[in-house]
Amino acid sequence: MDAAAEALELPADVVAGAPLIELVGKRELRMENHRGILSYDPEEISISGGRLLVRVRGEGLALGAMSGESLLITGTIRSVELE
Amino acid sequence: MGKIIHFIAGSVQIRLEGPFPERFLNLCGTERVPFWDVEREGAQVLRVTLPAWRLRRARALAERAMCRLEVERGEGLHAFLRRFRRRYALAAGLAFALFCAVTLSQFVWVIEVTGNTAVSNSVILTELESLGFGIGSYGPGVDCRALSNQALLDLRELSFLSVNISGVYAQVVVREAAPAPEIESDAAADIVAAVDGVVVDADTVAGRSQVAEGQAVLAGEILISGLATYESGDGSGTVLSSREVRAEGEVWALTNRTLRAATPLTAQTRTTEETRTLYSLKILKHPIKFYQNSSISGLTCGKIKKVYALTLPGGTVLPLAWEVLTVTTSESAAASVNRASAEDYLTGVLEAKLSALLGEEGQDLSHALTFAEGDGVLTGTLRASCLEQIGRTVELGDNN
Repeated sequence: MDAAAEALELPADVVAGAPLIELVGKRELRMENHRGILSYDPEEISISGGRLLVRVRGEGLALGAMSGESLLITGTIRSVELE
Repeated sequence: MGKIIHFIAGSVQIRLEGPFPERFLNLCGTERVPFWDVEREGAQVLRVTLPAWRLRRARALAERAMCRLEVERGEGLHAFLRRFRRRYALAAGLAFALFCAVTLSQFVWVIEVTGNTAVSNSVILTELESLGFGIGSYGPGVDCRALSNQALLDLRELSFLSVNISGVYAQVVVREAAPAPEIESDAAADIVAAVDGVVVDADTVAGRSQVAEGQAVLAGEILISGLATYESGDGSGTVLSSREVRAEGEVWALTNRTLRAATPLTAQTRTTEETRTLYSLKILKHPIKFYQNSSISGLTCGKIKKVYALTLPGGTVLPLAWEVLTVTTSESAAASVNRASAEDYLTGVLEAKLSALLGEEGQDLSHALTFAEGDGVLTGTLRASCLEQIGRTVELGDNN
């Protein structure tokens, strides 16, 4: 699907529902097309993005808002890892 | 504004315990159950805050996520009201207050009348009351136009009347009718003598004089005739024509007036007296009496009622009043009146009567007073010689 999106020159998140991660400074992280939270801790939040796992590390992390498609993480973000 | 909405909606803080409490968050996200302030308490425990109205749904989701849900605390209106759920009297009072606020606001409690000067408020309000409108009337049931029209028909002194109801307040706007101008009658009339007398001066403005100076006249005799004649100028006295006019003029005469007045020589005086004070609360027009009986019989009594109405700053009187009724009962006994006092009293009465008869211009030349006593009554007689205007207009055909 990613290849098809690339061929059609369409955004991958629109075509395949790929996760879209937006980082606002180091205080906010917005993520769309997530598949749910796997673990929650003020120092580490793991989010499923379908075929990849997003691991947000930092201090005082909190789930600011969450819907079926998007979520907002606040706190001091030190790193974002994709697996 | 946001805080107010948040307060009304209310929120609950819940504690979730299960093998995978994050699943609850995922389900909330999927099911659009908003939440915030997520805290990790332990490996299998999460603390979450969510809207109070979504708690039931959250319980179902927690069950699906295999978590145990406990409500730790609530905030907002629902939590505030929850504190009072066992305070039945307060709840009943609150319900009653709400009922009163909703129900009583449909009635008219304050009526203000504006625009009147000669016609008093009480006249206007009494008229409106006779038409069924007053304090306590059901506002939506009042047909203001019909009420205004009917009141205007009945109150001839008014040229405009409008009743405007706004909530519990009714404003009655009136405009008074201009008084009809006094129209002097031009009907043909004679001037006749009001009393017997001897004419001293006759001043005729219109009509034909029938009397001369020094002539004695009787009451009812024509002094100035309304029948004007036109005689031939040759001195023969032949009447060429005549027409009826309204006689005008003044005829001054010396008169003798005899006036009488009487007064009893005994009077009732109070011997014993007892005073009772009774209280009542008046709501609208209905008094709530804090006494059983205020009636008195067989005795001389007097009642004085003082009304203390609840008045708002600005002078608006509310239909709530505290009434204090003072009832005084007494027994009376006959007592003789001092004769000199009785004579003084009669003298005053007779002189005032004479003065009223003579008017401002008439003169009391001399008078004498005599008193006679009989059957417990003192009778005073005043005989006066006066100089007064005795002419009185009597329209032709009017025997009065």
